[in-house]
Amino acid sequence: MSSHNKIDLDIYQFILETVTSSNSLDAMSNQLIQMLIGSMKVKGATLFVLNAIEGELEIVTTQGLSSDYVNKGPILVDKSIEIPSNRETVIIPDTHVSDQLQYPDKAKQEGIRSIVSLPINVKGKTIGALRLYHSEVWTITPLEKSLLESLALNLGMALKYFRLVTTVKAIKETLADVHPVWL
Amino acid sequence: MINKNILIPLSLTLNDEKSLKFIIDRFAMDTAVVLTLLHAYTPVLEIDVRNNPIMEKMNQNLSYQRGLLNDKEESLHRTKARLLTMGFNKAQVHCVFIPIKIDVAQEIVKFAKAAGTDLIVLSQTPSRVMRFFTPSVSKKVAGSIGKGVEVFILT
Repeated sequence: MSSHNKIDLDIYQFILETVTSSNSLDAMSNQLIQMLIGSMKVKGATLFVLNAIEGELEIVTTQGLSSDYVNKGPILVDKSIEIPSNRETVIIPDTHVSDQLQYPDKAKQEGIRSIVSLPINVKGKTIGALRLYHSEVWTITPLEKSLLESLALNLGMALKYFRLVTTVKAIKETLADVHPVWL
Repeated sequence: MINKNILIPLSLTLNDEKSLKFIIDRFAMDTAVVLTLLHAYTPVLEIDVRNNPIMEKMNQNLSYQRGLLNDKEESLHRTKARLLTMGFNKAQVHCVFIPIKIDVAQEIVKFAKAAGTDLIVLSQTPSRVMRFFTPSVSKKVAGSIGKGVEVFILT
């Protein structure tokens, strides 16, 4: 295995075990982001879910970025899911020579030099995104890209699972409130 | 003078503005209130690196993550400093920075009960989609805090 890869099969498997064994979205997303940052030695990472009504991405978890930067605005050109950059893998190896950033000066201040954006898809529909930010120029290798895209696919299934679990719990709570009244 | 203990959980995002504005508008210059700004953070993973090169590699960078927590704590203290310029005095405003052990809502409730909180002020996140993936913190707090504690949820 090349030592130039930030992620390899061992790390991928380890992260996947965490994703598939978590009991809550909060725990899973926090651990996932920490592990990605820790194992790949990147500056930061953010997990988004899609707000299908507004057509925008909303932050689930973000780490490694300052509060000021996160609250300033979108990281890539637009939060809107309509634009291709949010529907396919986008690699910005060097932000200093890219025109895809809405806030290039902010990225520079934050120390972000490269960005990898991966869509999270389920059955062909984009439901979120995973973004990695690095403080150095990063020419992603084919292996890194494949593993990260595979991870994103698994994140799609995990998000769908948590969506269903939350719905079932809400229904259960509603029934628990209503049921005693009629008995 | 009976002090009213007010707990203000903060997420350290723009959403906190609602809580802070409410507190300032309602209680500034009121010397009978004591404010506690609370942020529950996700602790950095503790990794057992014994004979495991993957874990060792991960642990090295997690030290950097631990350092980033200082940024969040400073953000909390900056919020306190802002309240001090808005009519509160030093003795009235306290900061609490605690790790999440179970989930955010439970940490808030646990702290509120232990601290004898009279009022909890929460900003409801405007996110329309996250509520489908994870239960609302404000709803969980309001549902489990019990009697004797008021909960204001700002929308």
